[in-house]
Amino acid sequence: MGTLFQLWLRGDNKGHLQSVAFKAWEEVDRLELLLSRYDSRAEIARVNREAVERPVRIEIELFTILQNCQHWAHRTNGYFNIAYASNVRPIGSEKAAPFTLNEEQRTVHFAHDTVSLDLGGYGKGYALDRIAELLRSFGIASACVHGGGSSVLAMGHQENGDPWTVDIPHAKDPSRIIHRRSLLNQGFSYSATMPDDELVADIVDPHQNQAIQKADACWVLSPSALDAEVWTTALLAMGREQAEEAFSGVLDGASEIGWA
Amino acid sequence: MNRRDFLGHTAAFALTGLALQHPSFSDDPPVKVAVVGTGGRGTDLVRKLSTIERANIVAVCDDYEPHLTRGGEAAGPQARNYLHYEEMLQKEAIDAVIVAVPLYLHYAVCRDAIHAGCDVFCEKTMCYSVAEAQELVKLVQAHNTIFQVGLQRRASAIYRQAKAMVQTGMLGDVFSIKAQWHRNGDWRRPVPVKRDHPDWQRLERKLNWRLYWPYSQGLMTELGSHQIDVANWMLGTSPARVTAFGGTDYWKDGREVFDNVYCIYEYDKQDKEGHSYTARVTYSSIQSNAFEGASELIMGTKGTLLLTERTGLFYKEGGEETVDWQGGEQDEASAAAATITSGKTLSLSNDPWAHRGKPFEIQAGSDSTRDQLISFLDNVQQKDMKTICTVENGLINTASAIMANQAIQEGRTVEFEI
Ligand SMILES: NC(=O)c1ccc[n+]([C@@H]2O[C@H](COP(=O)([O-])OP(=O)(O)OC[C@H]3O[C@@H](n4cnc5c(N)ncnc54)[C@H](O)[C@@H]3O)[C@@H](O)[C@H]2O)c1
Repeated sequence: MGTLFQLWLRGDNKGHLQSVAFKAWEEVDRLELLLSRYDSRAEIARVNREAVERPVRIEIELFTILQNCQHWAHRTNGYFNIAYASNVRPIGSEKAAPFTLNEEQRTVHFAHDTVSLDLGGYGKGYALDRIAELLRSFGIASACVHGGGSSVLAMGHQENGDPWTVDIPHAKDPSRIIHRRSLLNQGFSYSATMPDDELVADIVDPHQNQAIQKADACWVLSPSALDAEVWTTALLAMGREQAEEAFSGVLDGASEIGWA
Repeated sequence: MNRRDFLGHTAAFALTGLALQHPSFSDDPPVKVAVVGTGGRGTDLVRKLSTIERANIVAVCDDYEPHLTRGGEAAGPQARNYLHYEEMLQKEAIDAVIVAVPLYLHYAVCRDAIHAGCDVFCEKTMCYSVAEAQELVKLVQAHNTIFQVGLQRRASAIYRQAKAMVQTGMLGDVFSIKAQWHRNGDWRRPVPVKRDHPDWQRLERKLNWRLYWPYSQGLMTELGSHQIDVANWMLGTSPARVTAFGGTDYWKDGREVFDNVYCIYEYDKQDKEGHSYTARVTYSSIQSNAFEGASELIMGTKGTLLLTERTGLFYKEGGEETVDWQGGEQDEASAAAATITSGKTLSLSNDPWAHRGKPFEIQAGSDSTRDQLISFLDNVQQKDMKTICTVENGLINTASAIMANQAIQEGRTVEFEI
């Protein structure tokens, strides 16, 4: 994922926390080798190399992730799309699915030779949720972990009893903090489009197949870091007006959206 | 040789290294595979196997339930779970067993699998002792077992390319190899109960077996064996002797094995004219600083290879040819190098790599852990005993890794003996 992850753990045995932290980093490394399209050894890179030619059998975990991505694409009216750059031509009024999954064979097959999968808007949130699971399994109740500063997951409380908090910067002026939110066993994701700098304009409107041009930022609080990350990606791609109309501030009851 | 010639000769590895070629045997039935030991590594192997069409994972086995459950989930619903491998060997019709238990159990599980008529893939290091490794060689030979040791760099396009480059003389003569695996961490698995819990001691030994001598040979067999294998492979022979130092100096947490080791291996070699010379390999593994990570530097008279599992870099040695090698773009490093080669001063650049110009990059292209399994399954289907890492390679590797521990423990130079 090429992202810096940081972890704060609370507990009464430093040695135990240390070993758990290293185990968490091993998990991040493992997921990198599953989900990073930039590392030729990764499972997703193999899919991108081979799934044009033929259906490719993949690990159960990746298959489940890809199924979940299809589900998210549906839930966000196509705005969350891990094959955004694939430029699949519309067939009739419907766009052809860029990839198909065969559950029995556990394979993925691309519809077109321009299809390529990018889990960049999924991996950090997914990793945070896996880390949280791991921490709980080793008896850790209070922790905060973030990936790249923009995806955060908090469990329990800080040492002084206060909840973990995140500061939310303004979209156009990141030095200006416009909100401070407490995280109560929640995941958080912040995503911004910065059209001034093409390199970081990494949110793509899959329907137009181009990077979002308007400066905008949105954040989502959700019980899962993955849900938060997927929602911010989809909502930004959708644009504020349409998103507000479609979801009016509340996602699935438990989540909360904000625009910065 | 100028740059164009050089690239002309080596165009084959401009992007990706020398990948293993896998014949496809679509008509053969899939190999029925079972995995014993679904801890960290075993589960990784299960995951990789689950993506290979010619593998049918029929069973997984682990005597620790949480690991068995995880391994079973990764294998899929067709795989049956076993707590005891003996029962599994008895009940299941298995073609090949994958062994990923702690080191001290490798021999027993391999032996029983061979007696049950199975082919075997055994994780590195092949055995806990040289005597066990020698027994295993005999067993494999007597049963014509298809046997492979899990030293996955042997399947890596990068390392295979490196071997080809050394063999064809592109590095010149290799007198020196420097390798290390440096980490900054406690190398511990967390134990899921508190220290005062009655199960703590048992679980500590179970999960952190690699920290205690009865089960593990420490850094040399857990990390060093990969890299000593690279050295043996590149130099085309086994070491003659080793001297080494080590201790438990930083992690004073009850562990028994060393937390840092420093070794010098000597290899007796002969040049083309039959003159003998010694090549030396320095190896270190430490756990208090991760600066250089894991890599091997193959240093020849004409060039250097810096190898990691992700990329390989080839640097030509400085000298008359360097200006040609720089070729095209004049970035900062090559500009400095051009200055140096025209005879000014080395201190012009404080970048230790600058005078070597741009390295030539070799990409992995794929995952060597998965590729080594495909290669093993090919051997099984073809009934071909010549795997990419044979039981004989495993014996040499076991002896090469363990002799350094002996040198440390006995405070003397230890000769290679098998
Ligand atoms: N090739 C590599 O890069 C690589 C990487 C890591 C580990 N390894 C090797 O893999 C092996 C396992 O290492 P690991 O890190 O996975 O250790 P681990 O402790 O995570 O896994 C070992 C597993 O074996 C199980 N086990 C122990 N005794 C058993 C028995 N009698 N029957 C069934 N299962 C039993 C344990 O419960 C555990 O789950 C070691 O030899 C290690 O050197 C290789």
